Amino acid sequence: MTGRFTGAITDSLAKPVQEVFDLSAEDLGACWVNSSKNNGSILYVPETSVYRSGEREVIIPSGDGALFKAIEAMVRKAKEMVCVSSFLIQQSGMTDALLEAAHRGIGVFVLTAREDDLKKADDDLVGFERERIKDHIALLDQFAGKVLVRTSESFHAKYVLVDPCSPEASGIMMTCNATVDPMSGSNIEVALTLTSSEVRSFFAHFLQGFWEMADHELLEKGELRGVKKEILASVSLGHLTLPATVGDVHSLEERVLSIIRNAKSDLILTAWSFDSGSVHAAVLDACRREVRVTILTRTSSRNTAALRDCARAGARVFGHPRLHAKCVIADGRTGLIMTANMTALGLETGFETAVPLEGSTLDTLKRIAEGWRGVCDWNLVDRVTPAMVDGSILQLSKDGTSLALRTVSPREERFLPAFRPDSCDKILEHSVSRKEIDRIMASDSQNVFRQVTLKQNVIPPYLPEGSKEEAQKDVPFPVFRKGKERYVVVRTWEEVRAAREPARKLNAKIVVGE
Amino acid sequence: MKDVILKRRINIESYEALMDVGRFKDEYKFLLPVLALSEEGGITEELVNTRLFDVNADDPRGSRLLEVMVKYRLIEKRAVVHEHIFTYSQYRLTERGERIRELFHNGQYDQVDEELREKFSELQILNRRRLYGFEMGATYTYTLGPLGMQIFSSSEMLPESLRDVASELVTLGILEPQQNQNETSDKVHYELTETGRRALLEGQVPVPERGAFVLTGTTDPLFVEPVIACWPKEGGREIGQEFDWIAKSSRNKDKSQGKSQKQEKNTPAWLDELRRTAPRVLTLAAQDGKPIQIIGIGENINQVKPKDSISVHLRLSLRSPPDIAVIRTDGKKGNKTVVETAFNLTLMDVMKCLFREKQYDFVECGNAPTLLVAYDEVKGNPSEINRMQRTTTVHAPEIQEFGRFDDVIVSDLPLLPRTLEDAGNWARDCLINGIITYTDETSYSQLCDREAARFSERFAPEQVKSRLPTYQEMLTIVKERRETDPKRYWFVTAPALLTFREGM
Repeated sequence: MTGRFTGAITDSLAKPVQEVFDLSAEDLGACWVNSSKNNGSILYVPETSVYRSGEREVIIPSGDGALFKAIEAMVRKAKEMVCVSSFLIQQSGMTDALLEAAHRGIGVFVLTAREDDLKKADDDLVGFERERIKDHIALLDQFAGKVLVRTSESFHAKYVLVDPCSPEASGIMMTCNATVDPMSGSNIEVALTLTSSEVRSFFAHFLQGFWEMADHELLEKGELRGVKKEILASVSLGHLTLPATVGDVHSLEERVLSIIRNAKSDLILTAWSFDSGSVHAAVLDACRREVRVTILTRTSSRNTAALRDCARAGARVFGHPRLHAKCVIADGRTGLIMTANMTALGLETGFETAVPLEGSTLDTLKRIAEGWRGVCDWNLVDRVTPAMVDGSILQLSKDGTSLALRTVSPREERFLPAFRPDSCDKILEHSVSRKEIDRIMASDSQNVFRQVTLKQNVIPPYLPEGSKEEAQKDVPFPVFRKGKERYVVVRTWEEVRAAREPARKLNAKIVVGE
Repeated sequence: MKDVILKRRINIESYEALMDVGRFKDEYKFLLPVLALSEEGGITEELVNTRLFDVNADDPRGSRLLEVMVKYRLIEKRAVVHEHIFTYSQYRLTERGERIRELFHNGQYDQVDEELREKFSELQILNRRRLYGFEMGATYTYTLGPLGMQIFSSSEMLPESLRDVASELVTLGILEPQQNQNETSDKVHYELTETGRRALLEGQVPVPERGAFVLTGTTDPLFVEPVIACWPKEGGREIGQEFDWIAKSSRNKDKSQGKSQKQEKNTPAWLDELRRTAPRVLTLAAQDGKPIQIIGIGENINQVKPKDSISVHLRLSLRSPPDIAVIRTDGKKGNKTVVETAFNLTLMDVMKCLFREKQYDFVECGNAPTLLVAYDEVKGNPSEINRMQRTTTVHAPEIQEFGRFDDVIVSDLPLLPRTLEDAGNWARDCLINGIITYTDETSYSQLCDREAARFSERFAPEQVKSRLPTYQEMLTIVKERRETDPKRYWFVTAPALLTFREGM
């Protein structure tokens, strides 16, 4: 900065001094980068709500209520019993149909979570579902006496089974809870009708949950009582033929890992949440095998932390704030839809089910997943620099617990507070520090800049009024005194430089004269 | 069944009089070893001298001590003579008298002709006490009174009072005149009096006192002994242990026992009886059941206001005979004493009294009075249905011969069905109520067995079980009652539905 200080002091400081910083190569850490012009939360609109594939239907929960209609129609046909599992449940056409069935004398059984379980579920509920907990409790009161409700914090699977013991057994599994908005398309979800043999396996899953895992039950209004985990001799729990997580059974985890490990060229994983468990390791291995891995998930801090090294390893990780569907598709040949997240809770200790898919149904699912990819505008990149971004990012906080939405700007100009030294020689040594950049970045949580220009007015010190001149033989500049302070008076930068030594000897400040 | 406790406050009367009373105290325990000789070969001068005084058998100290104890009425002298005839100054027992003496000695009062017993009772030779029983009518027990003991047990000179009855006894062939006969016994021994026996039992010797005492008594039939308390009069002079007065008292006994016609009219029968039969040892029900010896009661008797109130708790239990707790309350604190009661009815008798209208519905079952009831009587009462017991309050119950009591709660009165049909309906209710958890066909059958055996003391379980609903019928029942009893609906239907059926 010293090079520009020549000639008259006052003239040279008429304009602010400025410094330009290039931040385009700054490391922003792991970020979700939004490549679109929107806010990254466009809802998925399928070509159709119901995809038919042989006897089976793949249903996309949407505003037309296709999922509700399918379930309600099924429940209305019930002749003996209806079994429902859903972590969270809310009054809807579906629950009305259940109560109506109960009124007809149909045995209706529900596995769900109780209030305390819901409060403990830190990561399993979509944000707005948390606000539905009161509705859930109110609905259980409505069920009391009419529907037999059993609860456990593990009851995360979501399905409806109708007359599972009859030849006309039917059922639907879904990735969403039985709450109104997710079943109406507010999330990215998928549901699937079940074949008779699948219903039987789901029923065995339900029986294990009911008789072995439940810890409370609601027999009468207001009486959620503890459950004795005794199974009557006559009760048979049946056989699980489909991958599941229940009790000591971890066949779902084994199936998911098997699909990932056997993927040759292409792998798609979708889930609400991931952790650094067995799936994570298998994905990294697939990346090493140069399998083209695509992960669709929710843009959350937990997923960011869990998947950043997958992204670094080459996996393409895309995010959507409401992606809740859980699928695995490998090489377009094998896959499954499941109720579990890719976490230990879903694959090791929970209560989850899945339907393995192949053939046309898998093709349908793959097409749907490609549609989901189309609305997943966020791309997880491990080491993002401002130069890479032209839009917004979700930046993982240093402690890994939150994501901050920030916009990347090409350049930024900021004024610093004026610099007012008490001696002109200090201006010669003044510069705008890099620390100022860090301070600005820290105080601005919404923006990231590629280039920042910092400007600052410099106000030189002037001789105070009322100062009296003092005779100094060896000093070639006028010297003044006011009180205990001495002042050496100059007009140009050259004089400032020349006055430095005498001023030091006199312990005087260098100031501009009038 | 829980114990039944009948309570009431009892009517009492108190009278004060100058009395000779022996209160059992520790001061003269040194006499107990002498009394104990009665159990070790008999009380004789020889044994007292050799065993207790360790002196020669004929030492005069033995006879002196025994004479004093005779005066204290702890022992009485018996003379054994060659002819084995009890000799009095002017009369002796006839052969009939001897037989009666033997019978009385063995406690075989009922072997004596009833008419003679009544006569003896009139002459106050025998004490007569009426026995109360639920279905017994009036019967009596007899004990030898003090006068009788002198006639049939004592070898003392015939007292003056006996002369009044001697002619009667001669007429009855009990005594015969014995003129100028002056027999001596070879050997003298002593036997315990009632007081002596009691002293030995209590481990204390009654210490005679003379003073103003207040006697409290009751005519309540629950009490064996009508005199229930005897206190020194408050502020009255209480005379300490005086032995000499006994002799004086004996000399004046005829005076103290005789009473004016006027006085007899103003005092209750129990007091008159006591005066007639004194000296007597009483157990005082309202004074911790402690014994007291009433030796004599003066002529001037005044009724006073009782200072305490007395109530009784008559406990009737399956496990023990009736007992009565006497609660004395002096206005501030209560004192409870359990004493002997004249109440001799069984719990069954009492139940029949308390539930008079149902007295023919009581049966004894497992040693307990059990009420037979129709199902309709209990069907709306889950507690009675399930526990087979009834708890109820009986208002102002009255027990024949023993009067009326306060309201009483009868707890856990056992109930049984009256008929097999009642049993079937009852067991059906219990069966439904017994379904308190998930039940399948097997556990339902076990439940049926359990409920059918509920009335096994009265009906064969198989008979009852045949009247219970089958598992399929129970499924229908719980479905019909689903709205009102959802719990049992689930307990029965869930296991039937929520099971993996092979061949599905």
